[in-house]
Amino acid sequence: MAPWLATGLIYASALALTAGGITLLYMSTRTFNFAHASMATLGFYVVYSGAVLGGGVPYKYFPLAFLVGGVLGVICYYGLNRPLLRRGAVEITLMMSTLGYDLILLSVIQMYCDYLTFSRKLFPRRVSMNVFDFELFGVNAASVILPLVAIVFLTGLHLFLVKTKFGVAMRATIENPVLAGASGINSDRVYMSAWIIGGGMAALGGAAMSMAVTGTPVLGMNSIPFMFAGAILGGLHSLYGGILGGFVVGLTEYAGVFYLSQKFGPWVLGYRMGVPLLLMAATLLIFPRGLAGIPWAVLFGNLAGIAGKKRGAKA
Amino acid sequence: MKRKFVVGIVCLLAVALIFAGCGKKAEGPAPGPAAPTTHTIVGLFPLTGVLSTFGENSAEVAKLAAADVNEWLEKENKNWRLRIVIEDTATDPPTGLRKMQSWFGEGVKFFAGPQASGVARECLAFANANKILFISPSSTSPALAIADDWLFRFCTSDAIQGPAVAKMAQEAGVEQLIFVWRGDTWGDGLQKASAEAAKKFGINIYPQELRYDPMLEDFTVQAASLNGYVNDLVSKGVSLDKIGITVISFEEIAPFFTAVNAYPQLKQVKWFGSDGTAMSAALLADPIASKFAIETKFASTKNRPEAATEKSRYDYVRQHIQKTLNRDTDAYSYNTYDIIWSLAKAIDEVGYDSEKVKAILPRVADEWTKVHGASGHVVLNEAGDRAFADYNIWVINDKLEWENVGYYDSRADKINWSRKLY
Repeated sequence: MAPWLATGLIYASALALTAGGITLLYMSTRTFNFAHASMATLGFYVVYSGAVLGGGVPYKYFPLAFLVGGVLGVICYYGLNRPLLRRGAVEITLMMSTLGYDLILLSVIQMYCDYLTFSRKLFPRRVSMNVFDFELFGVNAASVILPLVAIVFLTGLHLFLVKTKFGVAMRATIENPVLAGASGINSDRVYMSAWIIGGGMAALGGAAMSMAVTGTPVLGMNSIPFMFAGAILGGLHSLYGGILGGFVVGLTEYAGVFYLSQKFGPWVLGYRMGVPLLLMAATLLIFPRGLAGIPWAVLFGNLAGIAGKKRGAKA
Repeated sequence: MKRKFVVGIVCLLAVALIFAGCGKKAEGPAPGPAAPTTHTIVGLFPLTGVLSTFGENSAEVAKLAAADVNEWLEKENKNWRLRIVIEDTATDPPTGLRKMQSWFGEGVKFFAGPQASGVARECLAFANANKILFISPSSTSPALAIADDWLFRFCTSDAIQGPAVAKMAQEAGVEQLIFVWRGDTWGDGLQKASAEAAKKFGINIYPQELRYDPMLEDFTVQAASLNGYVNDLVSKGVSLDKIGITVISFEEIAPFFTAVNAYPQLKQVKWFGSDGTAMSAALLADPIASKFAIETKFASTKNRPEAATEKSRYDYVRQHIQKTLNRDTDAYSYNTYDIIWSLAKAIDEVGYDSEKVKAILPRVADEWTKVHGASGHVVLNEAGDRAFADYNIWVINDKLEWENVGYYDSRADKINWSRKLY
């Protein structure tokens, strides 16, 4: 596997997780969670601290990163989101409140980095997590393990939402909170769970992302536009759309830009961050409801029909 | 009811605090000898971002210098004390300017830093308009060598470093040189100076150049492109040992080397760096990147502190950073020590007046650094920049330490090797 493709797959998996988390929180509590940025960064620092202080491969600290992200989500829900929702806050207020929370988390991250720098004599502000990785099938293990982690996690999430009683209650609350409340579903518990899962996905995504790009205190802040781009590309009203959107944006940033630079020259590399955003804008112009709004079944049905006709003609 | 009670208590507390504040001046001890005045210098250093380890070094050195200045002021019974405030520019131009504006609003007229040329350029117009004196320990862009502005630099311009970088390539027998550089004021200036010098030395510059976004943290795609350029040169009959790559970067060199490490043939070409990478603690701390640097004999240039005088603070500063940060400090942090002392000496002579300090700074810096200078003797030219400097050449050795293997003599335009690299 070419190194640019391997890194692209890791990055795309990380964006799928984070964009999925943003979509889930927006669908459940109408909140664009800007704190996703620092939650992702904290996920990276949990894994980094585990690897450098506890030893072993970074992947064994991923569940811990998810848990820390979940706790941060609960704090955000009970400390900010729930009181504001109860006062009937509009979307912009909910969004700005998470921006404040993000700044608090960023300060905590900086303090923690100071602690690691001065007390532990480490270099936490520029970390290449590759050094903790190992080789698997001739490539960095991250490029095999992390797409698998993303697939397993997202499949588990799908099964949770479809097969479990609480998952069904969650979907019902997301789709129609009034009706769900009338049916006796505790919406408070549902929203809290959404924040646990959303926060966990942010932290897990940040931990995964640090295996592709340099880990810094602003890791999440630098990539938050792409997390949102993924969620918006997905359509914002479909969890699966958000996940797919994140993956497409991530892979475009690597594979798409590399392909274009080979075709048109190295000047394209300067627009690396613009290319996925351009793709998002173009997709939304054609499909205003994003990837989730594309009639995939009809599209595949038509393609299957065309292929069938061709086979019939040959026969 | 309960809510009203809580609101009442809060109001009472607020009123009590207001009155406590009002009464503050009336209390306290009886008037005695006047307390010394405090003058503030703000250190604008990149504690985060791609120069963070250099910023940490300079911040620690600035605090050390301020403590030494205060000790001297006390000993001399002077009626003022120095207060040093460290601010993080995040290696980001708008952040650096915002910090300068904010402290200027508090009445501060003297700044040490910023370190990066991009940040210094952002601050320049505001500083010129408001007569704010700022001295950078490490901004080297030739574009900022401007006479009569309010920026002084205790380092030399890259008009001197450019030939030093190109000279290394010439000595390594390079015939084709590829440039990779961060697209900011510093990177553009040094790349231009190096490329011009390389052409004069008869080295061909590869037409495809990689100028990258300074915000970039991952170089996978750039590494793939670079490998393509080397393939192209090899297919045209150039042998790998005649190909050189000059990387003009800050501490993003670590992820850059991690990315290029995936291409075996890139370990067989010659690699050169600059003052942005020499003595980088971040590069040492990354096992993959530092191994790549050792294998390719990655050579970087950095200001050569002049021969230490008997009273030079060079060893003193070096030992302090080893004790506090457990690492070897970089060459520019010695400039920071001299900046704080020069400013303090000038303020002591003419007061906290930026115009008067500006007028005497070259003389004060000259006099103080001639005897005590941690970075050697600082002589400023008409643009307010350090006039002369040679450049040490640094490589990482097998013991994973930065080793000085020679120096570029700018006046003789030659490299004096203490350990021959090529």
